[in-house]
Amino acid sequence: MSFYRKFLSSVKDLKSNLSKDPTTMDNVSGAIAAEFLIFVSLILAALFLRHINAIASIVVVILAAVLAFTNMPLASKVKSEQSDSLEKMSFYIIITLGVLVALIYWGLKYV
Amino acid sequence: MNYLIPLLVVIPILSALIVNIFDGKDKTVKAISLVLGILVPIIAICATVGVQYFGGHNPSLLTSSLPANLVNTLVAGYNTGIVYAFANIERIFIFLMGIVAFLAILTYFSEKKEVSGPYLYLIFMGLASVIALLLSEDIFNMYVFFEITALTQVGIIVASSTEDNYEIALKYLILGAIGGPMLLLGIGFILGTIGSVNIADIIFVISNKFVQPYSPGLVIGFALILFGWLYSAGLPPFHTIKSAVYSKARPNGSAILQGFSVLCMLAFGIAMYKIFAYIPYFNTAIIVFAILAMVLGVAMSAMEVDFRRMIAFLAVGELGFIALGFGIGTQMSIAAALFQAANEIVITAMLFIGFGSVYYLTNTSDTRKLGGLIGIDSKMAIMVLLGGWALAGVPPFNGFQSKLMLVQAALDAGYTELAILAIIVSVVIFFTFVKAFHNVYLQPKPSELKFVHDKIPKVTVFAVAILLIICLVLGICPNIVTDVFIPFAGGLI
Amino acid sequence: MVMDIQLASLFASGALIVIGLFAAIFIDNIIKKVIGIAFIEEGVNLFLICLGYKAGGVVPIYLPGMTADWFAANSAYPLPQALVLTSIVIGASTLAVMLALAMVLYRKHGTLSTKEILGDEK
Repeated sequence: MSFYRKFLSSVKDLKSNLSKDPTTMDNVSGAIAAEFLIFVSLILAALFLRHINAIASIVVVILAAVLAFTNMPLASKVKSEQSDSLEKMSFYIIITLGVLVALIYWGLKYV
Repeated sequence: MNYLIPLLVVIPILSALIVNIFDGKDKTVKAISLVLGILVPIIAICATVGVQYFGGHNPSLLTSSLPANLVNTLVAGYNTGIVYAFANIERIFIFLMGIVAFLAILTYFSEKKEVSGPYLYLIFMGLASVIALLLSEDIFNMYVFFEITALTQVGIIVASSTEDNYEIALKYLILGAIGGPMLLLGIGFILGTIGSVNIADIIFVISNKFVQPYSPGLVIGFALILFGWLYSAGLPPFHTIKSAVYSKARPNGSAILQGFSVLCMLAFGIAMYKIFAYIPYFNTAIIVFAILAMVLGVAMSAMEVDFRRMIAFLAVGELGFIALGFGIGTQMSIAAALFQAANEIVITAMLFIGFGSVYYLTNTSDTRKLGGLIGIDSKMAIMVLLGGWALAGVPPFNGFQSKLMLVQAALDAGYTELAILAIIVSVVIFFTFVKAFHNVYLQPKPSELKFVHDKIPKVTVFAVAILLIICLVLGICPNIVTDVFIPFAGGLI
Repeated sequence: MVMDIQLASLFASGALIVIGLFAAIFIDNIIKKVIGIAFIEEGVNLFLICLGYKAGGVVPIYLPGMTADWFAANSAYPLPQALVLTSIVIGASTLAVMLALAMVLYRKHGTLSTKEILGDEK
């Protein structure tokens, strides 16, 4: 009987460990939907470049497709970067601030 | 002089102060806040379109009293005081926000025996400041009211006594203390270049080439104000904290908080569009953040198991649709963005209050632990389902009309990719919502599920029903609002 | 005079903002973070005040005996001063709320480290 209990508890442990990972939790359908959405939007965003240069957009679309395929569980990677930790949030915020100011200031100098 | 315009701001502030004074006397507080709460939408309907010059500083009247050497100069036309402009578009948004706030207060009363004066104070103060934000024609005044809104948002989370609410409140404040001062710095750059903070004056100076349109001060001002706009609206990179904020408040609080964010986004978005639309890549910059908000918000909500966080992320994703409309920048797309904003205030509030009734019943929001709730109140379940359809854009609801308008505008403008993306995102929203609905209402009830309350208060059902009726009316007769939005958008371009 | 007072204050405000941003992002202790945030706010206020500065100018109050032309040529620009007054009040109230929250969280967690209180622990 004690062996059975041990087995049961180990299964429970395994289950609780697994449920922290978004690809193995109960919410598999959600993770797959998110995966498709991110993949499709990457390709569409790359296609958006055609307003600037058609050839560049073809190259970027193929590149984005290959890179996205080879790094496939994208959704879990995206999710782990969007956590509630203050460090990650402030990192992205400060990066955005820097990129925005730099791009807009130096970008418009040559208009 | 139209005294009803300043009253739109004065009455909520006054009611905030009064309910705070009468804290402890529940009946008085309830009566006062209900009476004053319904007064805001009524005034919004009754007030006539007009402009309010505070201190009587009407520049066209002042020209006669100016010294001779100042007549016909640039300074003569400057507004020397704060100006509030009230047009039909403000009427629609203030009316919708007032209704949402009133219904949220109503549900708060029904779910709590003793009411808290300070909590109502925060709600009214926030309402006053977003209304002022919409009315104001002065970017510094907008900044001030925006900071008051942010503080009241923090206050509402702190007062909500959910788990981890203090942590989220402090995070929001710390990140806001980076976003807010940057917005102010941008306003400072504009002030330093132009010498006025009034939007009409700024446009006049720029369009008549009194300053270099690409002078460094204006350009950096634009970058910083754009960053501040991202913070005020909760677009990426602020989407995680904004959704955390929504999910940590009580359901009625979240309904109000998201309305505040939409109005902040709208007020600053319109101001930015008026001032900076001449800058090349202005539209591209906004479209980038719109796509990020749509994709990240909806993808995160699809992976979420906590339904309050899920709706919060969906709310952020919907903000992306509004930003997309502004980014495409044609008359129809901006009108669609405004229509989408009006719809989002109502639909998301309805979902927060409707789904919030589940949290009220069971005190949990984890969809894995829930199930079978359709047996408790099937009317509520059906209304929540219809609300989710409205959010995803299923006819005949208002979400369908605004998204159709947006997709058509994107196609007309030649952005086929954006139209496809908008449709795909809507499909995922639909999927996410139906999945959560199935988990909460339809799957078999787990045995360990315990109920805190047995019944949903009638008032909550009533509030959700009213919001659903607004959705239906706007969906069947979109002309009520689009007749206002389309000319307004035409004037912006 | 080596450097114009206005230019010097602009540099000072830039330095305050950069130091504040550094502290608000990289320092782990919540109280020090809040001090950094106060630096950002004060830097922005100093920047706004600089905009209205006029070397050798007078207080923008119209007193008897001044001619309108002289006053217009010599007075400082009053608008930024009025704005800064409001912005100081907002900054102070934000700071107060932040410190209050820091106090509550210190009682709850027994530490002031951001990593432990505001981290990813959930």
